[in-house]
Amino acid sequence: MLELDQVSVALDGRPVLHGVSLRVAAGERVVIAGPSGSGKSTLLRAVAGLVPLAAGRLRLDGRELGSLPPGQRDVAMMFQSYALFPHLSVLDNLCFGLTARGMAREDAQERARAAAGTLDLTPLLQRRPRELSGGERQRVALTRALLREPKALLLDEPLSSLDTQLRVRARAEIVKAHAASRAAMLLVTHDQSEAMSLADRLGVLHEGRLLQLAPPRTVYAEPANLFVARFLGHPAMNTLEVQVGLDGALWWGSTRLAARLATAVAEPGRRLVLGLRPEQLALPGSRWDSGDPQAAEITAVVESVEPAGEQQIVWLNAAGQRLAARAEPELRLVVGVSLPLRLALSRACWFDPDTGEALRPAAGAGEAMA
Amino acid sequence: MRRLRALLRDWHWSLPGFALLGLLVGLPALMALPLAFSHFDGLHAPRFAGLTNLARVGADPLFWTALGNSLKVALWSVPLRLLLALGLALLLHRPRRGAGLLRAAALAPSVTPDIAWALLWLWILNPLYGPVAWLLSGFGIAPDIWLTDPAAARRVLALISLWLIGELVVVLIAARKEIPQELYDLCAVEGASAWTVFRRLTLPMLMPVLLLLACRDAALSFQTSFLPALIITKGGPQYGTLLLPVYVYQNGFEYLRFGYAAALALAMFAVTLLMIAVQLFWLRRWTRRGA
Repeated sequence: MLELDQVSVALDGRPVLHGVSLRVAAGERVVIAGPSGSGKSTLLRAVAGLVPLAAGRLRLDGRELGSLPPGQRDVAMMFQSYALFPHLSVLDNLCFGLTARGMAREDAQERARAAAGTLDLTPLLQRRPRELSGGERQRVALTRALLREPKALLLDEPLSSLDTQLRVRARAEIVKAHAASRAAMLLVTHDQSEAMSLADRLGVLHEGRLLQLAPPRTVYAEPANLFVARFLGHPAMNTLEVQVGLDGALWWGSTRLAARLATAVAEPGRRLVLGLRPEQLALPGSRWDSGDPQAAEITAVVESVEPAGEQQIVWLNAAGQRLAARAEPELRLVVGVSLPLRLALSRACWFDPDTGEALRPAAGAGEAMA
Repeated sequence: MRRLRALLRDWHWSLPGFALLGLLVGLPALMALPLAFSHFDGLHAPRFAGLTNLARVGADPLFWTALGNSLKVALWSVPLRLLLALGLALLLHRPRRGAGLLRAAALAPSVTPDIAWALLWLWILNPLYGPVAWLLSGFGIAPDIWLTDPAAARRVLALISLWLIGELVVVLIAARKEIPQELYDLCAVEGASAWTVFRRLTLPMLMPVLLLLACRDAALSFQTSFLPALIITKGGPQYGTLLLPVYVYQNGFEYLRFGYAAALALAMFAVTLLMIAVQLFWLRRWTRRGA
């Protein structure tokens, strides 16, 4: 098990990570997502020992890592550029870690040949990295990282240099290669679909702070705060500034959304941010309308429609605010038409407008805060 | 026409450089060519000599001595220069306190006028009052052999050639910076020792540049060794540091045998070409095997 306890890192005197705590069990896949500059790569480099900790503790299977040089930590890292040696063949690249640690060349090659089969590298063993495609390079780097059977596997944006079609396949390959090992896997990415699909648990990092760490479904459905809510999901979550009236009714400007709210957040007079995923806005006549028991109805004008294959994204304007909704591709919509939009309030998220924190205690947020 | 245009498109930035090169190097070299086939002392009008000069070059024992001396000096100086430049480049490539100053120091001799540092070396090596003699006398070593023994004098010339490695250092620092940092990070994570990193990453990645520099340096060593050999050892002792360019210079400007000097220069040119050809052959072979 890989344990990070209040890890802080500063680069050139500038703080980059602030007290990040998380645990990755053996065989578990934890993905940390965040926009560029959030400190994702630094987090991995700190675990690998390539940058020093300013504060906090790092343990791997109970062993303190903080004072160990990178080579003695028993972690493997797959770099964004893959870091393949251009002058070595695929086979020698695979063997590098083993021979560098003093294993005999023949033994290392035998092990590399055995491992190469998992990701179909056997026909490529004599080639040089520049003779490989992007996907092949990615598989070589992944195989090399796992060949040493490390206790922890760190992956830095492993799919960012692949095209979209290859990514889907490469994701499956990462899962497959990792499943054969018992390494604690920590992957960082800026790509949310990659994060959602690869993670047993998903963390969101923003400005060096881990905002939430929970199974992807939970992070999506119950984001810990407005940043997480807006970072995950495409299009981003719709947010409306609303207020609870003195009579307990929910008001959005001069529109009354509901007579009474069934959630505990509704103290009279309180201002709230209402968060709704695009699939929680139902268009009239849509088969995707699940019929929420606490639906509120507002009037909105269709601004534009983006067909996206299996769905269409409908951009609407309601009282000057832009909203995104999802609908099945067969639904006929005319731009400029005003229509009644149903908001699924019972599945909505609620946030404090001042702090941005979620108001319903979100499950799974506990560990990030602990 | 289209090929010419394509050529111009790819090379037009280098045209001023080529023009200067042609004017200052190509033209004089071409003018020296007919000189090699004539007798000329600078006083009387040149007389056509046919192949007499070239035939004399082959039969001249001093030419072969000079060629051997030049090769011996190069054999010492080229590997030593590369080794020292590589060491300095690996020490100085990282931005750290004082590195800029040290890099400038490594380059400084290369931008100092040759004559100035050659005279400086003459003082440094002086067996009576020079600092080297003084230092050696501290260890009880008699200071007078290095410029009186032919082989030792050649080694001194090779040592002096270490003075001018600024350009090599600059090129090697640039080449070292080209190696991606992530490869070094990977080595660290994989627990490779400093020696393994040097042997399996740094050296192979620098090898093409090192070989190219060796090629260039060997060709240039005929020229760069000229001034110290002329100023410091004056070709002696016993012709021990009579290098090819020194012999050419003496024939031309001391004995006023310009025709013969041109013929010698032509021979030197041929030897240089041969050296470059041999090295390029090995370089090609090596990089193809490595590729």
